[in-house]
Amino acid sequence: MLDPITKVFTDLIAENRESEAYQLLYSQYHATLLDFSTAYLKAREPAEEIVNDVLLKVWQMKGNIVEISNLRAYLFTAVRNASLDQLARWKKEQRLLSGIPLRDLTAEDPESLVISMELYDCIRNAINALPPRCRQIYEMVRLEGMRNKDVSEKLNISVNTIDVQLAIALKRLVQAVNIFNKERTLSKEV
Amino acid sequence: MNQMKDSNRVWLLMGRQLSRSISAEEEKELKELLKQDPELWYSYELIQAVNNLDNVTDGFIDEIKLLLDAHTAPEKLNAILNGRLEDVRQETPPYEDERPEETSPARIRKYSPLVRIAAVVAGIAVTAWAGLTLFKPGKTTVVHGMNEIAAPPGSKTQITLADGTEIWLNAGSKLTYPKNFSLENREVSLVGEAFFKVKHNDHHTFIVHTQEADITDLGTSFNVKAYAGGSTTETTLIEGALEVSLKKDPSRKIRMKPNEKLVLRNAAPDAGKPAAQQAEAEQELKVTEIIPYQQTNDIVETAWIENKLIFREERFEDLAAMMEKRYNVSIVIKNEDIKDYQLTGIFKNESLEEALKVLQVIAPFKYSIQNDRIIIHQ
Repeated sequence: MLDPITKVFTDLIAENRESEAYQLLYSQYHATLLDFSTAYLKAREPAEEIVNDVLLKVWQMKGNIVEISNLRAYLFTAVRNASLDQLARWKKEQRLLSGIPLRDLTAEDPESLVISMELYDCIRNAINALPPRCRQIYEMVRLEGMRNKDVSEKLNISVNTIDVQLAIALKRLVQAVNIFNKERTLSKEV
Repeated sequence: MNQMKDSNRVWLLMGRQLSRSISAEEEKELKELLKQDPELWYSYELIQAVNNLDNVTDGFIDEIKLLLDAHTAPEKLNAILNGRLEDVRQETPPYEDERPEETSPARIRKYSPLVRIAAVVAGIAVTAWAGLTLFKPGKTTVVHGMNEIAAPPGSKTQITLADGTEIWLNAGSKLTYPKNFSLENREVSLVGEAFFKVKHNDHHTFIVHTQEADITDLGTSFNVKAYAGGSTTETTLIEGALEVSLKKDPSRKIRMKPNEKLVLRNAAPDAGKPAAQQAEAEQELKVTEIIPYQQTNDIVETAWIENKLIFREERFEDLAAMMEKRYNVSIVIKNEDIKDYQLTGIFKNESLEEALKVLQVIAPFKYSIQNDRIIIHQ
C-alpha cells in the first residue's frame, strides 16, 4: 500500500497539475514540518525559513526524485539536518568559538538523505530481533493493517496487551534507529 | 506485563497510532509528546517510512522517476514558487488544457506558394514555442506487475526508463513495461507510435513488442508506429541497427540500416482461409529509404516528436486520421472526391481551426465543428 499522499502527489504530477501538486505538498507537510523544526529550534521564524527552503528544494529536484524512496522521510530528514545545522550555528555564534569547522548538513550529498538500504536493514533486523509474540503482533499491524481490536480477537489476547506489545516493539525499533543515526552522524564527522 | 508508566505513554500512543486505533485526543497528545523530543519523532518517522517501503519497491521508485522526469517550464515553476496558487483550478479535468487553443499563433512553413499566401491573407503571426511544453507526463498505471504509460489523445509524453532509454510517446499511444524493468530485463510493449532512443548495451538487448512484430535494438534511435486497428506496422531507423522479427513467422528476421523504413502490411482478416495460412501469405513487407524533407530537413516519420505533422501527397482521408489523433477530435468527410484530395504540407503549432483554414486554401471544402466532431463537406 502506498502512502496515499505520495500517490496523489505523483498522480498530480503525472497529470501535469504541478501547481496543485505543490499545493498538496505544502498543505500536507508544511504545518507538520514547521512543528518538527520548531521542536528543535524552539523558535518559529527560523523554522519557517528552513521548512520553506526544504519544500522549495524538493520541488526543484523533481528530476532527481528517484533518489528519494520516501518523500515524507526525505522531508523530515532534510528539515532535521537543516535544524541541527542552525542550532550548531547559533551555538557557534553564542560561544564565539572560532576555528572549529562547521558541519554543514544541508550541503550534504542528497543521497545521504535517502533512506538507505542500511537503515532499511537496520529496522528489519530490529524487527526480526523482537520477541516472537511481539514481532507477530507488530507485523500483523504493519503488514496487514490490522487494528488493535482485530489482533486481539484473532490472537485471543486483550487489547491492552496488544497496545503494550506494540509499544515495546516501537521502543526497540526507535532505539535501533537512534543508534543507527548516531553512527551515521559519527561516521560523517570522521 | 506491568502497567505502563507515564514515561512509556508516548510508546503506547505510537503503537495505537500504528494500529490505527488512536483517538483524535490521543493523537493530539502524541504530537505534543513528540514535539518535546524531535529526535524520537524523527526516528518514528523513519520507521513508518521503512514500513511503507516494504510494500513499495523498485517498481514504485521507477514509477516516480518516470512521472517526475518531465521538466517543468521555468516560468510555471516560478509562478508556483512565488505562491501564486490561488488560481489553481481544482475541478480541471486532466488534459483539458492541452486542447488546441483557438487563439494560439500558427507557424506556417514555406513549402507551398498557396499556403504561403494563406499565411499572408490570414495575417497569422509566426511564433516559436518552447519545446519544453510539448511533452507532458503521461498517465501511469500499474496492472499485474506491469507499468503502463499512456499518452491520451491530443497529447504526447516523454519518458526516461530506468536504463536511461528515452521514449517519446505519440498521442493516443500506450507503452507497457514490467514493473521490474532494468538493464537485464529490457522489453516493452507498444500500441501506437513511439520514438525510441535506446541506451545501447552490448550484453542486454532492448526489445519492443508490437501486435505484429518484435523489434530488437542493435543500435540507437528508431520510430515504431503500430496503432491498434491500423493497417500497417512501421519501423523507421534513424541511426544504429535494428532487427525486426514477425510475430507470425519468428524465423523471418529483417536487419535494418539507418534511414530505412520497414512497412509491414498487416493481414486483413479473410474468412475464406485458415488463419495461419493467410498470415504467411498476406503479410507483406516493404523496405524503403526515407527522404528527409528538403527545405527543412525534417524527417516525416519522426516529425511528430517536434509537434510537427508532415504530410506529403497524402490523401485527405489519411491526413484526417492523423489530425484526429493530433487534435483529439473525430473528422467525418462526407464527400468521396474530397477524401481523395492529395495534400502536402506541415502543421506545427496551428490550432485545429487554423489547420483547417490553411487546408481550405489548397483544397476546396467547407467544414462545420460540432463539439469534438468535424464535418467536412463540399
